Amino acid sequence: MTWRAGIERRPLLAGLVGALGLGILGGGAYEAARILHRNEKAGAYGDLVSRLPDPDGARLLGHAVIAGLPRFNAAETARSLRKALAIHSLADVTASDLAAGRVAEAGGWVLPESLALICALAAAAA
Amino acid sequence: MRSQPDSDKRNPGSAFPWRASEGPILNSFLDARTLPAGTVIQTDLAIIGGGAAGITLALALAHTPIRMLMLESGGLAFDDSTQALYSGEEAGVHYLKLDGSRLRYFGGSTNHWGGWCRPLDKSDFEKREWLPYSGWPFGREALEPYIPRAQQLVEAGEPIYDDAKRLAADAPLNLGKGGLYTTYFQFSKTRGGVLPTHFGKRYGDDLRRIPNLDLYLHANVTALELAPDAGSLDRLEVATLSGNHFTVKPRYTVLAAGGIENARILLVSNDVAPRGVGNANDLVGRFFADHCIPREVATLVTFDGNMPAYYTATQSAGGVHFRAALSPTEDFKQQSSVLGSLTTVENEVALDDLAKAAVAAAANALGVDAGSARAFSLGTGFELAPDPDRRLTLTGERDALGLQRLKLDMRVSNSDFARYRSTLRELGRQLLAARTGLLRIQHRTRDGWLSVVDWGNHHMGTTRMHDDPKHGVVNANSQVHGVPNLYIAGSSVFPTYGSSNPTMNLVALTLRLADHLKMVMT
Ligand SMILES: Cc1cc2nc3c(=O)[nH]c(=O)nc-3n(C[C@H](O)[C@H](O)[C@H](O)COP(=O)(O)OP(=O)(O)OC[C@H]3O[C@@H](n4cnc5c(N)ncnc54)[C@H](O)[C@@H]3O)c2cc1C
Repeated sequence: MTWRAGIERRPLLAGLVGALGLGILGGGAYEAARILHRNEKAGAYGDLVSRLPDPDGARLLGHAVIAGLPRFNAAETARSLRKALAIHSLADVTASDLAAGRVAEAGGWVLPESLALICALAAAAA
Repeated sequence: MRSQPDSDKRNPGSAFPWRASEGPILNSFLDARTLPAGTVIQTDLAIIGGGAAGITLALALAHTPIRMLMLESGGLAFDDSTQALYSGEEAGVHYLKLDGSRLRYFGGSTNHWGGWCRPLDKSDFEKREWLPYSGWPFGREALEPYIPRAQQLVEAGEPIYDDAKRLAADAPLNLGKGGLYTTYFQFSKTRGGVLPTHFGKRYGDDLRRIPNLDLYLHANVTALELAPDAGSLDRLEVATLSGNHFTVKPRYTVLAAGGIENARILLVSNDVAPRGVGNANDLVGRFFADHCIPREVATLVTFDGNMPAYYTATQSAGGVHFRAALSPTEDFKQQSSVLGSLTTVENEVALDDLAKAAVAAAANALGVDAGSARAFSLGTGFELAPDPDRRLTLTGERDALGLQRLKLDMRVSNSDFARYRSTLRELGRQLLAARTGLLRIQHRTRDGWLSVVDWGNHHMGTTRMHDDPKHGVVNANSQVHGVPNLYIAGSSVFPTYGSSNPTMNLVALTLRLADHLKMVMT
């Protein structure tokens, strides 16, 4: 048994898309366009990061998340999160994460996985 | 073999007149140093050790036709040279000094125990496919009838445990649905400034009132001598530090010298059985265990700042002292292959920048107000998986009585830490899902855990119980396999350990043994 309790990227993203897949397939063109517009102002993942109240805090957490995810792929993560958040609120996405047992860590802080990944994107964009 | 009296069948452990306090004091304790050298004493039952187990047994067999002799190594108070008989070597993962984690005088280690009590869980007795060496030869129901009397002896009040929530002024933390729940410890009574029941002091006068008991102080059992065919125990060799030697010839013997010394006495008794008494299958001394008690394992934040007082300190109500802890549920243990753990809330702590960011981000995502959030450090005691290589062996060094000293090889596996870590992770998930708060797990690496590891002083496993002599030293009645007149009392017989503190449980097990002895001896 390996000691490091690191999170495997693949099941992590699969879980996110899988749980909310039905809604994602249904589309959310308007929401996506709105978010992409905000994105232009706030860096590569601004559309996602802007959902968090404190960008500096998010970056701080994000660096800690990435430290535990050696194979973190920002572009792929952002793609999955955008799909999910195009049609669901952050509150719904995190509730779905928690109900399905999807958590990730930021320096030991146990967070809903999607929230941790948005923080990671904040750090990746910085 | 005579059958158990009817009253005992209905209510095991009921014939238990330990409240002998009404009667006159009959005996004073005897001093083994004053016995003429070479004396041979005959008795029905020899009890080796006057700690929680030995004293319980003597109280339970009071006023029976069984003539008892208790042999206690120490006197009525601490003494350096007697205590030094306990010293040994420690190797491997940092552990407590062998002479520092127990006390060798009348009352044994209850002279400095903490009084924390909780019954073992049902699953602690079960064979779990994912846990090698697990499974007691009986279920918790075999011990349950003895718990109320064990509670009386440890003076922890009526055994209400998880029902203590009805005594609590505030609602427990909302953990929602998930793998952990709030459970409760009870505590041995405090009396004035005196914490908790010291068996020697508390029951000394009761023992003096027992007409069928002689109690020798300063009497060290140095060998269990088997009959030449090794099929029974013939006699005990006893020595005092003043140089006196004598012999006891009992019909039956109960070894109750503590979780470490029980193994040592069997191992050094190797005249007839070269590997030691009860050790034909090389099990004596193996499977040593204690509860791993790392400090500051996690930080728990409640969004609304609420933390009921009974999580952080002992509360008293309805005649019991209680305190809450967080335990994995039976279902979660089974489904997630985790072992027992009891996580306690310790002190309020300040939050650093990362913590503040985590609280703000989580509260925002969950749509809760964290304006009054407070943070608390968590401690724990968790169970280790049985490991045959975590063991006691004899060394070449000898103590003042000429007995070989012990070496402890202490080990904690990565999976022991990982199991507890996944329990904490589930707690973190639950707190978020219930919108109660969030959790930080402090340690990720083995070195991190080891830097904060401490131990419970709960010595278990070294003479484990199993129906099959290939897997256990004693059988389900605590009788040493192959030696029908030798029994062992104490937590050394626990084959798995649970996360509950051992003493109330070993007292219950000793009461069960007393019922068995009444049956076979009278
Ligand atoms: C600091 C500390 C805190 C603890 N806190 C708790 C707690 O909060 N809750 C809990 O459940 N448990 C606690 N414990 C554990 C508890 O003390 C033990 O579980 C309990 O005392 C074991 O009882 P015992 O009779 O098996 O052994 P002991 O109490 O150790 O008694 C063994 C007796 O045998 C005698 N003896 C040893 N060798 C010989 C010999 N060769 N010949 C004759 N006599 C001998 C000793 O002198 C001693 O009196 C704590 C222990 C320590 C050290």
